[in-house]
Amino acid sequence: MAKRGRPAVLITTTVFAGLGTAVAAANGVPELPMLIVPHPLGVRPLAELRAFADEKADEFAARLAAGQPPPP
Amino acid sequence: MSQGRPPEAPEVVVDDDPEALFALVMDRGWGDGLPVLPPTAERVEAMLAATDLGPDLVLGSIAPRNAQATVLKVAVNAVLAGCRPEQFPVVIAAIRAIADPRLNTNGIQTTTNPVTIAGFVSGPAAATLGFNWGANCLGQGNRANATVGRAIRLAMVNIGGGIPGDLDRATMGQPGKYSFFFAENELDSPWPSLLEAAGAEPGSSAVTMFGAAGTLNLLEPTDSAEDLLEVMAATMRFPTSNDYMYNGEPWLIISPEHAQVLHRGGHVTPATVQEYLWEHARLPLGEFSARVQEYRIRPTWEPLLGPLTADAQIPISEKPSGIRIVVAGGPGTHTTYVPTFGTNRAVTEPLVDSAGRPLRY
Repeated sequence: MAKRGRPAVLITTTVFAGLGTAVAAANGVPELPMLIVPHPLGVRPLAELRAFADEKADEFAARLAAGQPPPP
Repeated sequence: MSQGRPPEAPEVVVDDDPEALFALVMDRGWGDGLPVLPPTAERVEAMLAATDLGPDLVLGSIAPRNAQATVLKVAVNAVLAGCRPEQFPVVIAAIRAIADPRLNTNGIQTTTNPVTIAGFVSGPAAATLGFNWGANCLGQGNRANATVGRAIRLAMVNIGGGIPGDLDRATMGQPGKYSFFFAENELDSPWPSLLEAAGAEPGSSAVTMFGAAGTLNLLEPTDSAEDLLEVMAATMRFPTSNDYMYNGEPWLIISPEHAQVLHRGGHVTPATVQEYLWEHARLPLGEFSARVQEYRIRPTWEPLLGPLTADAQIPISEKPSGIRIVVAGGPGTHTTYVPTFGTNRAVTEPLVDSAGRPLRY
């Protein structure tokens, strides 16, 4: 999406942040904004996850609105 | 290792002691934890001499780093792994396959799943180059199987960047991440070879690469094709399988004796075996956890099958041909089931020269 000039933010947990950075760079978008959240997500109760998503929504929107990397 | 290096190869100087090289390789994150052969200029040149492809030719990009796999870089990894030069064209074909996006090397390299890329060679190259398709073909002891598989893995690490704990995020991994390569047993199979079935040029050879999340043995001494198929289907049915979650492409490595039981039972080609297994290797929706139903099964299958009711039977793949079959192994009543990553598709690459003509063995 970022390569097509559309606003994009990569949401990743701490454990996968390095992978996210490397894959973004390998795909030509090294400045892709990221929202890094604590690990893990997968085994947490759904209600807790939904509350966490609500809590992070404003931060996500801010990252989306903040500068996007120029299309390569 | 400092003299007469091939063009464009970075020079690395290290003491002549094998342990010094081994330590250097591990320090730089280049290895798999096992000793390597020194990639001296002479050994790399010998590897390059086994192909008419130029050393700078790019075979493809290997994910996740998306680094270009040149013939030279692959040759260095083949030397490190212990390959013989005559086996190098098999490594080249395998690298071309793993650069194909259908195989989803990016996902396979970076996932938490214990998945690796496995492969096999078909056609006359298998015998001429010394590959094992018979007894213990998935195990140890054959240099071609072991070192070609290892060369592919080393290229995935050293070129593609699949370094454990870094870009390789596997929770546990599996032993096939050292090497997982064998040959098709065309000699003892009652069925047409895979290349013959695909309409390949007679006398040609090819490599097929696929995602492998492990191996599961099926011991079944029955002489009944019906019973054998039912236990095969029963073995495939387990709810933590990625193949159900993502519309997969699982593999059955069927021994010649099992293939003969099926052939005698009227399955003159693997197609009817695939059809039976596709119909019977289904799991009720309720067998999956609520979370997997909601976030894996429904998103994968509802666009294809429509809304899933509580009694829905979930297939393992979208169509019968999605259950892949190859005959390999020696005497014995065993088949090996290989579940996959789910979102990968096998890729077959012919062994060809620089003009695209089949290599003859």
